[in-house]
Amino acid sequence: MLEIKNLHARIEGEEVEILKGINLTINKGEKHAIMGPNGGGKSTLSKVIAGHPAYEVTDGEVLFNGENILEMDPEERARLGVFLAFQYPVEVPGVSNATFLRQAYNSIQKSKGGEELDPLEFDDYIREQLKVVEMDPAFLDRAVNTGFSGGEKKRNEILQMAVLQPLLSVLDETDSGLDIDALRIVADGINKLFTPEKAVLMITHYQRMLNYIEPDFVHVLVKGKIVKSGGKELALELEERGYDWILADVHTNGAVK
Amino acid sequence: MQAKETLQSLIQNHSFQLEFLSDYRNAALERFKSIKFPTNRDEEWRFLNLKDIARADFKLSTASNIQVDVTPYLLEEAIDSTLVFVNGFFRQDLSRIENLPKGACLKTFSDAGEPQYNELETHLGSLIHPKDDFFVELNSAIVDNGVLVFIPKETKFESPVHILNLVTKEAEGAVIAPRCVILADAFAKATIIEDFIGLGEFEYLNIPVAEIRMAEGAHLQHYRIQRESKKAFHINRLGTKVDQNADYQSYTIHFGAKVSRSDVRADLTGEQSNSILDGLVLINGEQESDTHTLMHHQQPNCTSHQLHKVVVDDKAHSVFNGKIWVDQIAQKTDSFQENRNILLSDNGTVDTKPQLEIFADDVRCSHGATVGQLDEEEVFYLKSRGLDELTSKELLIYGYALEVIENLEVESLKKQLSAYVSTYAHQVTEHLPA
Ligand SMILES: Nc1ncnc2c1ncn2[C@@H]1O[C@H](COP(=O)(O)OP(=O)(O)OP(=O)(O)O)[C@@H](O)[C@H]1O
Ligand SMILES: [Mg+2]
Repeated sequence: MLEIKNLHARIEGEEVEILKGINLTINKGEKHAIMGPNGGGKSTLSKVIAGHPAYEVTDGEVLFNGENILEMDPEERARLGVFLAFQYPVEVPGVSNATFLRQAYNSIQKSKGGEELDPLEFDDYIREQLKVVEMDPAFLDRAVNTGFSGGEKKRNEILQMAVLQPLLSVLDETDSGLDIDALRIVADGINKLFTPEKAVLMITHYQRMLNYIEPDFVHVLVKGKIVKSGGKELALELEERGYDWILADVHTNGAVK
Repeated sequence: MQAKETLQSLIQNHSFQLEFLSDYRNAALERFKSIKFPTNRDEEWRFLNLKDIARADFKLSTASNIQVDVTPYLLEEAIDSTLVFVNGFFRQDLSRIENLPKGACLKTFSDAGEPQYNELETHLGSLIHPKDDFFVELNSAIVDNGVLVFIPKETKFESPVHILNLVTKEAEGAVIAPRCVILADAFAKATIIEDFIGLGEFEYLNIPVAEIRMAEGAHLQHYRIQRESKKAFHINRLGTKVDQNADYQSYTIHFGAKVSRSDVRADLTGEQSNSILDGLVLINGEQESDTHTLMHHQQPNCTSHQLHKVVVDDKAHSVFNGKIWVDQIAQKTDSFQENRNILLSDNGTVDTKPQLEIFADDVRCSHGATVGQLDEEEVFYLKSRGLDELTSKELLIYGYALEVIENLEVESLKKQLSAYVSTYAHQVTEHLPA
């Protein structure tokens, strides 16, 4: 589904690269996790996948179902089925969640030649989706993320995922900010939304998220490179030992596989 | 403006309806004679383009019984408390005032009875500063049948008051001078909407003046909606006196007019009073909109809030000059002021000047201004959900403006204004580079 080959990226107009040759393949039906120290480039990778204009790709490719998406606008990627749950969801004052979600849903439906929903039909649809993340319908009338608590914002991201039904969901630290119960509910929701036709890329610092959503692969991203990949045991090992031993390896041997 | 002499003689030969205001008018006319038409050399008028007003020849508006369909502008919540003026003249046939609380007054100057005449004489002109302003004196020199609102002690107006000022093609080229005096007695409560609507695209000069006096603990929501003809000139002035524990919440919305100017002054004259002077300006084409405000903290422990939001497109020009004065005695003042501007085009202009003058030492005051484009993170967020660039921007402009509209507590008005905001947001994004 997603093939990232030798991806290099930096902030538009700056010298230093943040991503320095990322290679990552995600097949449908797979769940991947990326972990790694702060500032390593995890969010940058997720934004480059989603098409954030602040980043410039200097080398490499990102293929989504065989198609290079790097030249595409973010909305085109979204319409193909790429979704990013933001580490820091953006507040959009004055625009109600319901309006926003309906417009987003309809624009994606339209591009697929699917059925667009009027406000009443959409209301029925979204009420079902609210259940996936056990969210209070009152949030529909509030402005997008405006004044939401940290955890509420994260839950709202997954509500959007439920509404838009993407193929690839990149979840950037969705777990951080969620309380213990909320994490379970949101993780359950993500699991419910998963099908063998879909894929998930979770970015996280903690094992607890992975207890609920078991990854098939775990990768460690350090200083713009994936320096180690493994199965779900790798996350447990990291939880136990931290990153020092990997960093030591990186220093002595360069990037390890 | 034609030679002032011509205008003066028009005024002198005009037959006014209200005889009892003639002394007031004449005195104003005398002052008016000695005032020069403002130019950009006057500090108060530095940024506004007054040339088009200077160039025009205005006549005085005359009464007519022209048929007007007011239904699209009526507010269902205010159906029993609507005063309609057409071209500056009160229209009994289109107005409706029913079920007012006991002792309350919601009347035109001519209908106000004896006791209220006296009230009027004391209040008229008492709260507007400066008195030597060209347009204020012009208003006073031709003031006729305005509106007097009196909300008695501890009385609440359940439904909002809608003062609908419509201008029709008959008033093309005319000066219109609406006048409004609002007196809220102690612990009175009301919502008052002054609505200025031009029915078509033609030139006229509307110069409304409003004065509001709020006694202890009174509570007012005051909405001023300016949706004049896009060729009109609208220059309004408002003065409010806010006594102890009173709460004045003003929302000024400017959509229309070719050139509009709004001067607002709130005097916090009693302890623990609060004032909100929020504004929304949406302009494009060659519109000019200028807002001058003064929030004057004259007593301790008062709070004030001012968020003035502007969107400028095409060659439009916005001016904001907001002063906060905190007198030495006004300790523990808590005051917030912000002017936010979104400039969508290269040819648009924004002049902004927030000013703080603080003479007390124990206060919390913040002020600031921003001029910029739409936030890139917000645009990306919406696009990442599948919305195209233009739709994203349209939605963001809509949301930016709606944040102000949402504060209004009259649903039907909100609906009318949201519809306008939505049209505006669509218009200004249509031609943005995708
Ligand atoms: N828009 C930006 N402007 C300036 N620096 C940036 C920007 N985006 C990323 N960076 C820098 O690039 C590096 C990688 O940031 P990124 O957010 O991708 O890290 P991360 O792995 O997600 O970290 P964390 O675990 O703390 O979320 C950091 O040093 C960060 O400061
Ligand atoms: Mg991050």
